[in-house]
Amino acid sequence: MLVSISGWESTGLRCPDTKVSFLKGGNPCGINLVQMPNGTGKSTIIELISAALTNSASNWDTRKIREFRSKLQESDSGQFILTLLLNDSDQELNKKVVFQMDFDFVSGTVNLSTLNDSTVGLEIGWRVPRELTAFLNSKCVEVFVFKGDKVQNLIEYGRDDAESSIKHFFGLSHVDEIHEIVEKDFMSRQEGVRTDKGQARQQGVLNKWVEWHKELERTKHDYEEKLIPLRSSYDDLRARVSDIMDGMIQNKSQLAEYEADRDKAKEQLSSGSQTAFAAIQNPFFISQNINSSMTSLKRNLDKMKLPGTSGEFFKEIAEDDACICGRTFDQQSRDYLLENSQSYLSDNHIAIINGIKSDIDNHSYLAVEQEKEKPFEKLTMLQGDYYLKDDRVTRQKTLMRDESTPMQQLLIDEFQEVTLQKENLENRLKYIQNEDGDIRIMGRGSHRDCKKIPLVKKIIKAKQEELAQINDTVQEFNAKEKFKRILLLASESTLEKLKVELCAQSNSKLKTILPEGTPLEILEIKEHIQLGFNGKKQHLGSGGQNVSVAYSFATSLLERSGVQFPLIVDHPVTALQESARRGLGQKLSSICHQFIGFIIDTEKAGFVDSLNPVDEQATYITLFRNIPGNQHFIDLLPDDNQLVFKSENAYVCTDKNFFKNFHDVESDLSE
Amino acid sequence: MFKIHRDAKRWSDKLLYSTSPFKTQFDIYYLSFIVGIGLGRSVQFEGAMTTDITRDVPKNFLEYRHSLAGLLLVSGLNNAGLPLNKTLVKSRVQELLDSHSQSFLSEKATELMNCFAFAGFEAMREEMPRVPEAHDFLIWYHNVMLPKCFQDDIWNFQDDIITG
Repeated sequence: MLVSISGWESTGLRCPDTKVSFLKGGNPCGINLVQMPNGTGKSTIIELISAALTNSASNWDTRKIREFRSKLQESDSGQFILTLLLNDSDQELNKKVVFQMDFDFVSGTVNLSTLNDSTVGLEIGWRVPRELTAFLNSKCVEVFVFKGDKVQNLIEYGRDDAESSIKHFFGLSHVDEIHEIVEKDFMSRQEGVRTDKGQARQQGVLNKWVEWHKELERTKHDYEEKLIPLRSSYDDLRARVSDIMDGMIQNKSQLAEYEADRDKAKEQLSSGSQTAFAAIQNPFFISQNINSSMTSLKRNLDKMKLPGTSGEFFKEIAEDDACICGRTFDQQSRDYLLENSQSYLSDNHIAIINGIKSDIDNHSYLAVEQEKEKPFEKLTMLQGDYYLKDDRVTRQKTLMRDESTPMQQLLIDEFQEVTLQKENLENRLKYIQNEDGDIRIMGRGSHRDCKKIPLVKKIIKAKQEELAQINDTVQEFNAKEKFKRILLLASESTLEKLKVELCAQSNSKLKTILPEGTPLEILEIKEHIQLGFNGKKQHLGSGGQNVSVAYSFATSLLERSGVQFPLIVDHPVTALQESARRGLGQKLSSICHQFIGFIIDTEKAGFVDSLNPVDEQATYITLFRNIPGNQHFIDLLPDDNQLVFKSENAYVCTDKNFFKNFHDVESDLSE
Repeated sequence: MFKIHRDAKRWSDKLLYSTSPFKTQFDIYYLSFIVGIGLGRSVQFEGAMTTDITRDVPKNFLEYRHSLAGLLLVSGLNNAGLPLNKTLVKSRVQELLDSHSQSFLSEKATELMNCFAFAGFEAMREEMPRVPEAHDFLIWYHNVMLPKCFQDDIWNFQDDIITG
């Protein structure tokens, strides 16, 4: 099934009042470029599209909702309408779906309505078409709406965006819900067989852990829920700050360069720290005095002929009838031998003493080798380098902030605040999902001391098993565990197969996008997309390569799921040099059925000319505010009324020549 | 059972993150132990003042189990006073080492190690009440804490210490 966006309408919002259509001859176009000068509201429109598709507006607070109000018009209400077309030739489906968001800025609320069935008309509420139920959620929509750091997040080591996208698109994320149902059923059966006090107490302890698990899951859910609007605000603010920075092109590219340098320095610092800590794990490296006293210990042990003969050796001899010299043992000799055997070390201790002696040689040698590498000198240098580069980034940001208007400075400050909140919440989420720890120890203490969900789950399993043995319900316990294991194995194996298939599919797309002979491919999809070539790993590609990888992966995922959504991309080619833009543009129409790119004028070079589809399959839209500062654009608009839409505060022009010749001489950032 | 000061977890929380060289509480325990034994300080604590961390030595320290046992043995022999003899060495070995334990340490030696780690943690916290990022902490540990350790005469041998 193909899902296309046929257009949107907006009134009374932070973005200008517009009516944009991607239809030509009643059909949605494959390539759609929307050119908007900085500050016109690109990020706002993309956020509204995402919100309409996911109903995320239901999580917005009044402050967030009021932020969408047009500051120029100060109207009490606003509206955003997104129209989709669903087309499936196999199912003979050709359907229009409309999501309408009505903003009430006085009460700070937003109401959604949906046109899902033309015979019923507009219905109150967000009503997902049955065909799209599994896909219209924030995780799936993130796959085809590219904004913020999306490209990097798919490829970067340590992030799980790629795996998470696959899980959500193919319903594998629901396996946990099934596990929960099975657990609930098992627990209710266990309650039924309780008979004596001991069992009741054990059951009570188990119940506490189960309740604690639920509380932690609620906390986790709470973090995730809070993160949705926070991430959305982060993306929105990031894009708006980025728009501000776009106005300072030279400063921005300088900042990007400094940030890349700083990130590289941080990676090196992290690696240097690992090496340094590995060195001090060897006690011999720590101090020359440890080295000399341990060496002295060994010398003296040797002098004393320790560990010497094993006490067990004399005990064995004492059990024989005669000594090894042939003399027959009497009881007195035997007692003497046994008594003296006590003064010899046992096999148990001999092994350790020999181990210590051997380690003294090996590890003191290793310490010398480690010292030659000077890990702490290197670490200190790396630390200095990192702080220097970090400081340079801070100074550049301060410089850029100082050069912006007071309103922009407020936005930058808010972005920093939201970034901190987001990182803080992400760290908490990471902690609660961490599985480091010893369940034997944690399981003995109070449940409230264990705040890691994977550990709590393991403890519950162990306690269930203990209780099942007491209750004589081991068979049920094993059956439940077996079912869960099978389900887990099935979902893991499905995930692995999907990853392999998607890897192959993405690579075949990637080959057509990248210039022939480019030494880059997706080696494998783990939590992230691992790049490399011929089995050799590579951390990241160039800007153009990363974009190509992300598009190939996203479109392969959409194709494989059977429902193809449009790729919606904010600044699709900013990070690409002209030759890479040209390469991408030439292939774009072949990798997805609909592409909607939001661009600024400087992104056109190399990109627009290379798109080259027949004009019936492309729209070139220029959208700018109707303000005196844009009079030079208004003067250049074509006379043909069919090509220009004028609202109270904006112009939308669909003429290709106007699009190509449009150059933003002075960006307006008044909103 | 290896036990760490009950405040160590909160104190070191900022040190344990994905790209940090420190991954587990045992890493912090080891650093504390080195400081404790190096300063010759140990504190007899009550159970409630510590948290159990692990019974076994974690993977990243396995290759140093013999060295750690040796270090405790040297410390045990040093504290016994001079001159030492074969009988005393054997008695210390029997008291502190146990090959049936994964750590090669007897329960007594583990307790001893815990006491050093407890005191070492307090010494570190006294010097640095709030920890910085892992790399800064590591440099501070190496440049500030370690030079104070293992300076006592008992660690500064010019000649053999064990006789007889």
